[in-house]
Amino acid sequence: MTAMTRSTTFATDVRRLAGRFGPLYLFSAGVWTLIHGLPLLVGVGIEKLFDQAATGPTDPVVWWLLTLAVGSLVLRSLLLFGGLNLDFTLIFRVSARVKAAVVDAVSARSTSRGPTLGGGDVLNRLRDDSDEIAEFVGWTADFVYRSVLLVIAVVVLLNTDVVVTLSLLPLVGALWVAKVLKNRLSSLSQDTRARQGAIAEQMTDLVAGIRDLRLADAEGHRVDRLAERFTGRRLAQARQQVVADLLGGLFRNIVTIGSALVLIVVSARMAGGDFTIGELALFLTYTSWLAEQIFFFGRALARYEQGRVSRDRLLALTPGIGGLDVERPGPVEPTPAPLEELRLTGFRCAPDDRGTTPPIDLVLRAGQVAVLTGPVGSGKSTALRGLLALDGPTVGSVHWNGEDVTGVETWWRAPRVAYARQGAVFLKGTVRDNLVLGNDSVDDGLALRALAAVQLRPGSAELRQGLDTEVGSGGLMLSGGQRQRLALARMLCRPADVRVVDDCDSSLDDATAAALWTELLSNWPSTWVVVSHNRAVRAMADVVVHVDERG
Amino acid sequence: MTRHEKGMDSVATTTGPRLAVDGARGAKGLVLGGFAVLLVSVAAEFAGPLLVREYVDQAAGHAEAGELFSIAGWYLAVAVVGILASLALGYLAAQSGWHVADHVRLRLLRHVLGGRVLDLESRPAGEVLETVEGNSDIIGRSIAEAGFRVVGNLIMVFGMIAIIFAVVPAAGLGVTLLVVLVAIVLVKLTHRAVGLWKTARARKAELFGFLGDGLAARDDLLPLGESRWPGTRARREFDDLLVLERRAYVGGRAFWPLTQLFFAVSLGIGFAVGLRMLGVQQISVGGLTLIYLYVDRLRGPLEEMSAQVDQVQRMFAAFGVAAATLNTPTRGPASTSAGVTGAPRVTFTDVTFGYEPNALPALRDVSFEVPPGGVLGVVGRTGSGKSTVVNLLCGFAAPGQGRVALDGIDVTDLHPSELARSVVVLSQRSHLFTASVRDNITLFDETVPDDVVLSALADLGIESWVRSLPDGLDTVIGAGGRTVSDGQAQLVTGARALIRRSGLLIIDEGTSRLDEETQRRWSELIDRAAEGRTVIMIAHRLETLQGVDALLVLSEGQVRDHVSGADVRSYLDGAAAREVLSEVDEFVEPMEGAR
Repeated sequence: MTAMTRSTTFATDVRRLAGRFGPLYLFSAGVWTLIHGLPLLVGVGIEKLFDQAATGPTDPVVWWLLTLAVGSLVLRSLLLFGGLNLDFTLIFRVSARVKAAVVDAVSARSTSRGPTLGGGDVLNRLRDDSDEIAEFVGWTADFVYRSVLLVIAVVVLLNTDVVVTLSLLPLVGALWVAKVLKNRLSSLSQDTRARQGAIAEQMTDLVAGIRDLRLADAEGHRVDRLAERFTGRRLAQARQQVVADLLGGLFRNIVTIGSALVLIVVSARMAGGDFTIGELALFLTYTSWLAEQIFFFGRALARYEQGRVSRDRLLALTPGIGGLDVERPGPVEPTPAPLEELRLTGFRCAPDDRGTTPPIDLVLRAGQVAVLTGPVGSGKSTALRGLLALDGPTVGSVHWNGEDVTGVETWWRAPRVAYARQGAVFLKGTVRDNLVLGNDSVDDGLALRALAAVQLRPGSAELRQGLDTEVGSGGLMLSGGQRQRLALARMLCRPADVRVVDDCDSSLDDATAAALWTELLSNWPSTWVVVSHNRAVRAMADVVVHVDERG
Repeated sequence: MTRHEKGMDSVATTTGPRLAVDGARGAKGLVLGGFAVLLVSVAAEFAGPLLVREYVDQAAGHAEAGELFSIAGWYLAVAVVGILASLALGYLAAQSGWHVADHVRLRLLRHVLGGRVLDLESRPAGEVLETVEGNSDIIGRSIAEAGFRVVGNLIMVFGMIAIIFAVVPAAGLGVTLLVVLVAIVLVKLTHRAVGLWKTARARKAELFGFLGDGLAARDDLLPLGESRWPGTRARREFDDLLVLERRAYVGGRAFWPLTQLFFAVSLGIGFAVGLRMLGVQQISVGGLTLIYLYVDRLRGPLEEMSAQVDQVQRMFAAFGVAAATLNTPTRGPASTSAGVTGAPRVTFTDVTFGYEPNALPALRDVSFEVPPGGVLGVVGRTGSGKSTVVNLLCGFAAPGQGRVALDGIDVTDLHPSELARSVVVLSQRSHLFTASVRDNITLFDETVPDDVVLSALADLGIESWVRSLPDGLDTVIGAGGRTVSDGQAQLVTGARALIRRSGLLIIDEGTSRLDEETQRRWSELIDRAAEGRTVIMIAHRLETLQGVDALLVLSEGQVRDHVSGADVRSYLDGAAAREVLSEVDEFVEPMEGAR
């Protein structure tokens, strides 16, 4: 919650993201300028070719022109392969950057402080909305070079013939037609969907009531009635198809109509001889090119709106970051001095949607062990979550060597603390993956030592493949006892001044739990804050705090 | 089950192509109309460049402005006709495509619904519908989108090559070779791209699986200082994914540069030959223009066809699957059309029946007889075989051994319409359809007059309630209509039994608790419906059993007791009955089925 909450606008985000991949962006734009520019050159080549061919078809200039035109087209098709590669790379990289930034931002907040959306929804937004934004970033280059090319094309045409050029102006109206058609299509497809739904419902009804229908010999009759509805649906489907075709074929139709317009307008001048066949070829080639550009701008405008909506949807996941192009936050800096004293004074956690926890007063010196007890539901877990700044707001204070660090999110992280929580979850992968968690300083030796400490022995029935045992998504393949001990081992793999353990022995038998605590408290020196109902650990504690509203 | 299987082999078999032809026959006008406008639209595509050639040649020969103007006018007219024909084609293709699809859909639906009721009831409704809808939708969509157009594109490619051949034979040969080459490469590429996407998607799904896990575990990762891991790992994965996805993407889009390359090379060949011929006056400048335009127009169909070929293949596959479904046997035809009149005699003779071939039979050696007009009560605990008695009586299953007969005719030999005339079931589990109150009572039989329906409702005491509904008898109730209380639903479905005067009444009481008022009306309904009929009553309460002539007590699929006449009363008063009935009472379940 520091300086990074400076918000930006969509346009700034787009500009920054494009700038982030500057060289790629420019290179891609350059290639695409050539891809879309070469047809303009070919058009001029064809013009000269026809004019030459009409007068002297055997002139070597004709062959040079043909070579030029064909060569440009071959070059264009080769460039297209490269262009598609570059375009995809750019969009993918931008999208990946946005995705990674959002993943970082969501990961940096606890579930209570992060987005309230379900996991599926978060992933959906991560997948689709970042692509939407990236595609728009990719398109911004198109805006620039296509506009430049458009100006060039219009200048060439105006230079050739002003009147004919102006006769192409109505083609811009296609943008409006496309918009109207789009609206019509969406209302038609709604109609079709509604009919579809009604029919599906009737069919379900038919199947569900088959017993009654069969007994009344009414199923044939019922199907006949349903068939009547099919006719109505077919009409709706056909209507929708016509509008979809009209919209889909709009580009081709613009070209056709545009060509016809050109032919009509130049008739008189052709007959008069002041308009050559080559110029006609030029106009016909350029008409098709222009139609393509008109189409692009029509779609790109709609894209801008979608991009903005997608950005808002992503930012809703990540309260705290103001824009999508943010630098990655660095890892937590270790404390200069080790813990000497941890002091909780009247500490309570008071989350909005649940009750306030009972107050906790506790003074712990380095290396001491505190055990928190209390009835189920008394708020021990919530209090620990509040202590670790995973939940809030809090009442009272927490002092670390005398410094007030109550609810400071960035403070309560490894290497100052480590936490094994109740109901811990894991990631799909091996036991090793889940102990290492991407941290290179955790090697197999440490991992095995931690597993041994929590009484999990590689090769035993509980850990058949040792560190390579798969745990399943979320830890699906683990039993309750395995989960609790794996959570403890995961915590042990990281150095920490304070180790916070929330109910990680309830699924273990008393003997295992006692062995585990003896090992942990004697061989893993640290300051411990433990929620447990195990008698052995309570006996070893320096402080026992009873958490209960009744005091 | 031997008897059942005997009647199954007489189903007419069909094949995919036959099914397609059958479907198209019903939409003959649409299909023929579709091909007609297809020809018009293809002709317009051909005519355009020919008119341009004419225009260019005229212009080169210094024609009058009026002549050029009229050719241009023709060009516009042809263009407009072409666009209109293409739209009409879309309309007709959609109509006929979905017509064929709906034909297949109806046949599948009839076939599936004609299957065994017990099979249908054991599968989720969604799955049943998928067998009907899934294939039909593929057929409809592919005909609507690709069926006609793939033909048009083929004509276009062959036609344009033929014309180029005719104008400049050497160029025609070159272009033909190119088209064949490009077609092969495109089909291969499409195929390869599909495979690549599959791999990429699987990899992406894995990454998102990891991210999902990672975000769900953020309360664990955060205090451990490893909250950066999901981001780090995602960044690394993205690098691999980029390579994979890019290959798939570029492979899938490769038809674009390829058709461009085709255009470039064809243009080169066409012009090289064309210019040579122009030099020796064998063709005109217009002819050269024609080559240019045709080569340009060949690109579109080539591009489209690479996707359409795939769609047409899927269409044929769907026809095949639909035909295979239609060829699975359902129930055999009835071997007799003899009817049952009046209240029938019901006989079970040594009936043994199991739902699964190797499972314990649900009924074993069950025999009993109910004389015409007699009332038999059937009791027993859950799982004792009561529902199986109902299923066998309704013809939903045939006994493995023994006979179930009405007036001496096997139930499974009765034609469905005969059976429907002979048997009526009064059950608390009846389905309330999303349909009008009237249809829910008549079960869609339009010959039943309204006053019969209303008098049945009056007998049940709910006539005034129905009249108070916004549309009276036409008010739509059920899952998709107006919500009615469980009790009301019960009585509406119960009214079905009052308007159909079948000789045999089966009462399946169910175990649901009803409110007192509905309970009273339900009892009255039973009394009224039972008049003059043979009655078999699956009962749970002593009260409803007061009027029975005989009592059949089932236990684990066998007859435990069978008492009749004066013994019934003493049996019901005895301890044995209380045991059976009270056991049942404990299994009172929440009401299901009725809404």
